[in-house]
Amino acid sequence: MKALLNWLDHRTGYRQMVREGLYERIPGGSRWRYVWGSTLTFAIVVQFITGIVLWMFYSPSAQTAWESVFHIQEQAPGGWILRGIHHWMAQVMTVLLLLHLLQVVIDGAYRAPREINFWFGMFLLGLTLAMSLTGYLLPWDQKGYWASKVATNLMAGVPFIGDALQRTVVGGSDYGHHTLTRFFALHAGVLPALLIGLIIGHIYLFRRHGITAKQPYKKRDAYFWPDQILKDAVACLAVLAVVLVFVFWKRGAELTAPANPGEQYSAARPDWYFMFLFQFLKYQTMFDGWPGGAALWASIIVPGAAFGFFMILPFIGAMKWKVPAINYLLCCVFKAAAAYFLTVVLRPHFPQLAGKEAIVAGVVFGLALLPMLFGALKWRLPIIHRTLGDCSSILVLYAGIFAFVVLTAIAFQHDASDPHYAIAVKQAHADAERTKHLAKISGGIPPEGALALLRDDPKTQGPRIFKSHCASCHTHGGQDGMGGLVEKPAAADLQGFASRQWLTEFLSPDHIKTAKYWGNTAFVKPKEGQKESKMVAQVVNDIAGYGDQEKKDLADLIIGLSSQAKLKSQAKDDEKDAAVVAKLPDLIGSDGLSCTDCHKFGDDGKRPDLTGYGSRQWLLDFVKDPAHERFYGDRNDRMPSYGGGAGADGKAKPAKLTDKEIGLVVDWLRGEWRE
Amino acid sequence: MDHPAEPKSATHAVDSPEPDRRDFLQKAACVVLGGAITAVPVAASVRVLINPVFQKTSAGVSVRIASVDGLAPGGDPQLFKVATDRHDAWTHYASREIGSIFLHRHGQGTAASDFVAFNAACPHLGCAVEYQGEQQRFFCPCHNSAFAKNGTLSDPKSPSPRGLDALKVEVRDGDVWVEFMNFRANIPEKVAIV
Repeated sequence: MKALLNWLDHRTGYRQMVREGLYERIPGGSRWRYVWGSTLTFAIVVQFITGIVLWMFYSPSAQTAWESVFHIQEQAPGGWILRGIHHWMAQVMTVLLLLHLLQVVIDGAYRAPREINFWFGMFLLGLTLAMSLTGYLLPWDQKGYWASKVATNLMAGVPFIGDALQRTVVGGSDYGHHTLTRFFALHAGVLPALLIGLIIGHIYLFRRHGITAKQPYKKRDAYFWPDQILKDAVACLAVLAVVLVFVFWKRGAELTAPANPGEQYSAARPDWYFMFLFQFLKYQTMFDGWPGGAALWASIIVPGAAFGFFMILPFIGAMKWKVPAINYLLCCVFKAAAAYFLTVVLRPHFPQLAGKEAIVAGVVFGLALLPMLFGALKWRLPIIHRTLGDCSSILVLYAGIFAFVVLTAIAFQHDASDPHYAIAVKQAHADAERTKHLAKISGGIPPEGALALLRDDPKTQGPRIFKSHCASCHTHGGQDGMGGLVEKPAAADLQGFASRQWLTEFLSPDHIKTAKYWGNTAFVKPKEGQKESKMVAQVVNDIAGYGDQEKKDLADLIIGLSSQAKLKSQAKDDEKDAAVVAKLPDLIGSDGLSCTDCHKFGDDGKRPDLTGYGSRQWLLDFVKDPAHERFYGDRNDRMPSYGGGAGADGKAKPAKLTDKEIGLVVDWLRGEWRE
Repeated sequence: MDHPAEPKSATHAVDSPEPDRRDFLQKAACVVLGGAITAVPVAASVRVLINPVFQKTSAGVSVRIASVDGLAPGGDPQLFKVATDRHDAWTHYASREIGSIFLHRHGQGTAASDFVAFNAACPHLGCAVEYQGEQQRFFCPCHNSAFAKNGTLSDPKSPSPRGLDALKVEVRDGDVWVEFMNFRANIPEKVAIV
């Protein structure tokens, strides 16, 4: 064995390399504050391992990207854990990057002669964020699709080359196969290669200059192995633990509904660490009138300048004066600015703090008093005793982090208090679950992709069509089908239409004139030159005066009438009450409750036709042309003939909805969808 | 490699590495922890990676190939594509070609025993065999395996370890159905792939 190793060493010199690697001297001994670089290396390694296996499952095209991620997530055993680790490690990595940056600046490791390594670090930060940005799109779900659109549209704002840049990145004028292939090549090829190169350079330069040991030394010097490595390993274990907690708590990473350019997703948000930029864009009007346009300043120049400012931190930090008084003043100015910001600028964004000014003021005041407290306890307040450059750099960093935290908090606060956002998120989750469910019950996803499953699904499309075309008058369970409000309901609530309960309420003197039924229609509030509908008078006057037998007949009639709808939800009841249902022809005619004095049923009566009332075909015909002689004729209120129709003047009217769309909304109203 | 910027701190010189208990424990802890944190992502990856090893599908699928009347008794074997619904990872295909077979009506009757069907994949390494009418044989163009009309090896120099793989034939309502399946290549035994 020894001979073999000697042979190897003679040819590779590996022992020297291992020695160099392991026995790096750490002045003042190992410390917990040095672990961040190692945790980041660990995070990268985890991302490479998990990423390569995810790569083996991923298929970058518009018809297979979501589908392959769905397969990893829902069908491959343990796949959700793998994807979860990759996703959550990416989140944790961003935090680790910030902590690393913080430690480097506070410990002064960014100054001469380590400027270049600091820049390497900043580029690595940028590369990591680029990895996140490209990775966010790859599942091709609504979330990634719409958020990435924002990012690439911002790219178009770059002066001169914006359009060309955008087309190059997107792989065309719009999102498609080539967007995915390009983002994937960036995410799994170009960026990781750059990352490896820069990390090697970063670690080489770090080793060249040695660790920037924290003064004063607490212990005697030690070596990297095993002292520091043990601390690093414990820290990595903690990082992994945090990641695993999130993986199992959130059950992996989220996969929202498949990307659909035609389906607005108003909850489109970037990942949380880009939310501060997202929020900053909302304030772009402050740059109105600036040369180049407000958007350019808000999206490119200001964030770019901030990044540039961080890049010159090593030179700011080079100012060698050591004037505690000025440093103290700087700290105070910083604290005052922060306090002003927190109390005056931020207050309006957090309405729930109203009336709690005392608490806010107390916290801010308390923070401001801390230095005095430290002084009184004779604790060193380290920052004051630094050089002016160092103190400035640290405050610049604090200011940056402060801006990051504050903007992020405002963004999340806005979303949390926005009912539209909540509805959009809820809808997206519902769509995602529905797609997954449909894929499961269909035994797989059709070759044209998962969107096809949603496109033909009444449960998904019905409420959307209802919202766009019906909810200007009708409601469904008191809302517009998608959880929104109907401003001025002018027609009946169609939830449970033709069900026993719906008919019972409709045919009751207490309900027919309410807004839920006909209260806002022309049948109750007649148009100029028309009278209240005879039906309303019938219900309000006659039914109110029914005796016991007639009341029972009405109840039986409702059971019979409702059974014609053949509603899935009532199938069992209809079967059970078959004897009652059989009485319908007698009850509805002149021997019973005389509905056919007006209504058509079978061959008797005029209109509206109650034959097959509420059935799929009846509803299709009705929605296509409610003004047809078979239904309301000239007493039709404002309801359009969605399938076209003859029109009052004899001219054919164009269809507002296709037969398929009408079918989807009718099936949805009737509760007919695959479970 | 030299360290020009390395501070030469005489007062904080490192003592010679202590070969004591604490040092050993530290090293052991490093190895254990390092192994543990590496094992988690590796295990999560490998578990998913080797998934296909554990995935078994049903071996055969019954497919309608042709009507009995469409095949002349005693004619040459005919090549048919086998199409059926198929599942590939996440995609469900309603009708997709999954292979091809040779169907031969060697008897005069209309019973299953009057038909013989072979998987068109060569048992050697899976190339598609062709039927050569003038020589009345199946021939694999990849490595020159030759099979008689009844599927047995006809040329002793054929590299194929076994004859063509016969498939189970059924006749239902005037149609010929074949239970299509694939077999492991290049072994003397006929073993269905599941």
